[in-house]
Amino acid sequence: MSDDYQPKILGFLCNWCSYAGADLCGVSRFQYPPNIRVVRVMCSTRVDPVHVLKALKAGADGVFLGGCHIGDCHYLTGNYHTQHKIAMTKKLLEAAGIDPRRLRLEWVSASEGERFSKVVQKFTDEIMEMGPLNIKSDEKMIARLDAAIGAADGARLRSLVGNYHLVTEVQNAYGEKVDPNTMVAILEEAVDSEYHRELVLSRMLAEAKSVKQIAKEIDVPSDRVLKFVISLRKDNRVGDAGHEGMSPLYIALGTG
Amino acid sequence: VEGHIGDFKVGIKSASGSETLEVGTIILAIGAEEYIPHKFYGYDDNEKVVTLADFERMSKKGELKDVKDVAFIQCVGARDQDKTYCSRICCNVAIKAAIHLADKVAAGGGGGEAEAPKAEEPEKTGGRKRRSRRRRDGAGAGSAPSSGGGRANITIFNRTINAYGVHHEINFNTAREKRIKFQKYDLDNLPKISAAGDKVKVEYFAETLGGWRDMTVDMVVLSTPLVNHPEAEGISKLLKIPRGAEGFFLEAHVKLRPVEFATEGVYLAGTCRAPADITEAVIQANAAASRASIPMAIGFVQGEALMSHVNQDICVGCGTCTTVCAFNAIQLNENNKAETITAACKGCGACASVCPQKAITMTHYSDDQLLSEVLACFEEVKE
Repeated sequence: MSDDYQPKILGFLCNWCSYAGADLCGVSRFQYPPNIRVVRVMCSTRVDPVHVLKALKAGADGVFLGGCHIGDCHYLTGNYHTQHKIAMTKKLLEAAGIDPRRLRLEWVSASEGERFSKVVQKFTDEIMEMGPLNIKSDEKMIARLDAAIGAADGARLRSLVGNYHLVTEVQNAYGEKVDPNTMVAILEEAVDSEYHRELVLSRMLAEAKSVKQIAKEIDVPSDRVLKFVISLRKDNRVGDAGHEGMSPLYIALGTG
Repeated sequence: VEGHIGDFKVGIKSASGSETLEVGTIILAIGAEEYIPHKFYGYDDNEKVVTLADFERMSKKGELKDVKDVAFIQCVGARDQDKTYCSRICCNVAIKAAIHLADKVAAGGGGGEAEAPKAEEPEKTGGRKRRSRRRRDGAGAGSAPSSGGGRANITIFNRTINAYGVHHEINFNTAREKRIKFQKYDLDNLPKISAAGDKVKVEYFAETLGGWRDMTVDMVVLSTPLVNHPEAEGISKLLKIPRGAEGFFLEAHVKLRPVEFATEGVYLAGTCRAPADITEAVIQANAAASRASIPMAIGFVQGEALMSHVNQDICVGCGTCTTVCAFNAIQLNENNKAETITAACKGCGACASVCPQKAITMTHYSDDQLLSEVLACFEEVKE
């Protein structure tokens, strides 16, 4: 890592609190590192996990997300959903072998100009310590990140996260409240399998492969790979492509 | 309080019952309260130690007939003693009160009767939400030149005098002409107060003389800062408006939108924003009223430019969007497809970012637009 390394950080700031806080920070002449590039969103909950992952893929070394303090959301409950979404995204990052600390969620209110400068400084320092992600020169990492993006794009994780607040704080379809620990376990399992499913799919994009081949490539037991292949086939995302010896070959179909 | 700009429903409970008002805009002018300096200078134990507001009340009631020599202590509880900020108005109020007292004593009467310069008194009225601003008359306490009579021995202990603006500066000079003394103190050497018969002994560190001195006065007046109204927290939650670190309401932008909140249709004026003197409060009230009159004169509210839009061809009717929407602005229609209720949608984007089918687009904040912004942040610039 060279001394003049300057991390690139993407900041999603919510219009009502963090963006106003950043504004106040500037008006009050507090200093913060110029590494952060700010994208304003109306609410922190607008930020889709896909945006975060794609930012990392585009070359961000870290992603900062600023929202209103819990209970202060301009849209009443937006930041609760943000919390769950970001927790899920962090798990996806972990699965993809990227340090989840590269994604940071902070609450900065409109009055906390100084706090904004402090948290951005701290985050920048941490990223500086972790060093560049160097994603563009690392094809394996790109493949893993792509799988994470695919998983975040998929219906299963999105609806789990979307309903997280409802089922843990209000009730599920059966009128029961789900224990948050149970929900975390469910989410963890879902992240793990969705991520690997996408990873399996990514192996079949270029050429037809057998289950055994894929299992070897991504280092996942072949019975598990088989399960993913079956479910992908059911979703019409993978099709048959002849066979090699006794093993059938599969290939990814057009996106769908 | 329910609703939004142009259509607020405000429920007010009072002793005589409750009523609901339908209003278009809300101006907050709940005022502030005086800091009560428990633990400072024996305020709790010694009845000769009063706050500035107490002093003015007593003066008005004519209870200060025998009071001649007074020590004012500024910044009690303010500027890092308990509160961190400078309350701005207390220097000027203390100077005015001192001049007033000096004049009364000079005229031979002891401090009392007649009108006293009024401080920004906390409003304790029940109707804290009102559409029309409330006028207060400026305190034009003119001071007559002293002639004859006795001379009051008045000292204002201060850390620095904040007599900003033209007329406050004039008052400050008038006070000096009337031989009101200004004595500096610092946080390391706070004045000490002790009872001495029915009088009060003040010990203070005189820096120019390099030692402690003392004086005996009839009364000690503590200038304490204004603090936020106790209801401010509740109102902040009720209207979803922010407060600053000191507990005062925080406007949308300190320089560009000084009497408005980020929440549309809610405005503020006076000391609920920050300590202010009467002139300033009146100016703010004028400003807030004119800002509030703009949407009321227009007569209609433009819908949010930012709204969600559901592509019903893709929507599968799972209802995830309806669970995350805090405004009930997206609901399943009779075809079991999600549909945005445009009047209620605030454009936060919660639905778009969880839609499992990615069927929801936010106007002006679509996925494509956001991603383009993100990607542009990391474009390699070719030189």
